Amino acid sequence: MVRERMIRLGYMDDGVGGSTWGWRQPGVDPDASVSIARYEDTARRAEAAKLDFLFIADSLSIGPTSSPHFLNRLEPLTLLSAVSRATSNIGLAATISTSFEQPFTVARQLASLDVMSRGRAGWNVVTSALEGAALNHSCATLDEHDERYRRAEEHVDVCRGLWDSWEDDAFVHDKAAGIFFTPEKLHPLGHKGAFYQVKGPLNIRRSPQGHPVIFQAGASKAGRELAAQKHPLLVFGRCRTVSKRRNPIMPT
Amino acid sequence: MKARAAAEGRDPDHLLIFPGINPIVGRTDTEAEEKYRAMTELVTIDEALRMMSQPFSYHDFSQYELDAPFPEISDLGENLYLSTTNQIKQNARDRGLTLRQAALEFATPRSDFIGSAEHVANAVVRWFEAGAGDGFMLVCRLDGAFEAFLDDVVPILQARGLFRRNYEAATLRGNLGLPVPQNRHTARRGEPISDLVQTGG
Repeated sequence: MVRERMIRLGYMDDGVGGSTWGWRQPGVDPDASVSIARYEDTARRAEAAKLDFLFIADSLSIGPTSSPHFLNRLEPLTLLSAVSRATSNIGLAATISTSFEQPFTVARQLASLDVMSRGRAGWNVVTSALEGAALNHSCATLDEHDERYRRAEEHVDVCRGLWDSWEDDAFVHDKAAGIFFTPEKLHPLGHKGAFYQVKGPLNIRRSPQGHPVIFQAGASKAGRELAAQKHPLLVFGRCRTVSKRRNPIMPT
Repeated sequence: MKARAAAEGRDPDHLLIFPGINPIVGRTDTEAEEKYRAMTELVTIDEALRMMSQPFSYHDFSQYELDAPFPEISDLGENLYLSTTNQIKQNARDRGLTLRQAALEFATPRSDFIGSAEHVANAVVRWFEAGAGDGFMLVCRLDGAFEAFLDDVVPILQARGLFRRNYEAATLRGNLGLPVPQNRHTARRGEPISDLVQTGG
C-alpha cells in the first residue's frame, strides 16, 4: 500500500530548555528538568496532537558553566519509562552513549522500554563528545572521533544481535506439558569483536518492534556514513533559512 | 543521505530525516517578532559565549577580543562536537562575523519559523516540499512555543492533509512506516514472515 506522503513531527523536551536563559522566563518552573509530572503532561499534549515521538537528549558530564538543564535532569530511560505509562501511542526516544555503556545493558534497557510501551521505544545512538564523560566512567580520556564511531558500530551490531535472541514465537507457555519455551527458538549470540565479547542470549523476549527504532543525531562524516550504510532510521539536522543555503539540511 | 542509503541496498524510505526547527508562533507576525526580540534580550554576551563554548569542550572564549574576527581555534573542535564546531567556524569565516556576532547568533538563531500560525505552517510546508526532510524535530526554546505550535500550527497542517488526524498504529515503527525487522534466526530457517513483520510495514 502506498502511503500518502505526510509530514512527521517529533519534539525534543529539554525541561527548562537547552539554553542558558530558558529557566529565567516567568512561566518556566526551574525544576522542569526533574519534574516527571511536567514531562508526562507535555507528552499527553503532544500525543493529543498526534506527534510521532518525544525525544530526550542527554549528556554525561557537567561543570559549573553548563546550562541549567544539564545541571539537574532526569536520566532519559527512567524518565521515558514513566512517560510510557502516561501515554499510549507516541514514540519514546532516549539518548544513550555507546562509549561507556555495555551493549548487553543497553539492549536490555531498550527492550524493556519497548515491551513496557508496547512498541514505542527509540534509541538515539551517540558516542559522547565531552572529555568529562570519560572522567566519569573510569577512562582517562575520550577515544578519537573515528574510534568512537567504530566502537558505536560494533555496539549497535551487538545490540541488534541480542534483540534477536528469542524468536517471536519462542515462548509457548504450555502449562499442561510444562513447556515454557521452545529451545530451538532461543539463540545465544557468541559475539567476539574488537571492542565487545558478548555471549548472550538476552534475558527478555523479542520486543514488539523487533528492534527499537534507531536514531542518529551526529552529522559528522563518520556519523553520516554509519547512518547511510546500515543502522539509523532517523537522522537529525537543523533548518536555517532556505534561500540562503544551498543544502537545506544543516548539520547540528 | 537517502541516495547513500539506496546505494547501500537499503530502502531510502526507511531512513528518515528530521531537521530541527525552533518555531515561535504569535497571534500575528508582529507578536511573534516581539517574542523573538524578548528572547534575544534574555541572553547576555557572557551567556552566549558560554553556550558556544560547550561544543568546544568549554573552551574559554573570554580571552579573546569580542569585536575582533572569530578567533583561530582550529585544534580544539576536531575531536569533540565535530560537526557543530565546524559549522560555527565555517559560518563565522564565510560571513566575516566577530566573536560577539557569532556567539549571539549561536545563542538565539533566527529562522523561517517565526510568525503567525499561518506563517509558520507555510514555512513548514515550504521546507517539507523543498525536500528538507521527512518531517521535523521541534526544538522549542521559548516558553509556550511548543504548546502554541500544537494548538495553532498542527491543525493547519491537518486541514491541508499534510499531518495525521489519528495514529496509524500503536508502535513507533508503525506510525513512521518502518518495517519490523525479521528475526535473523527465523529468517535463516526460511520460515514464513510473521504477522508482526507484515503489519509493521
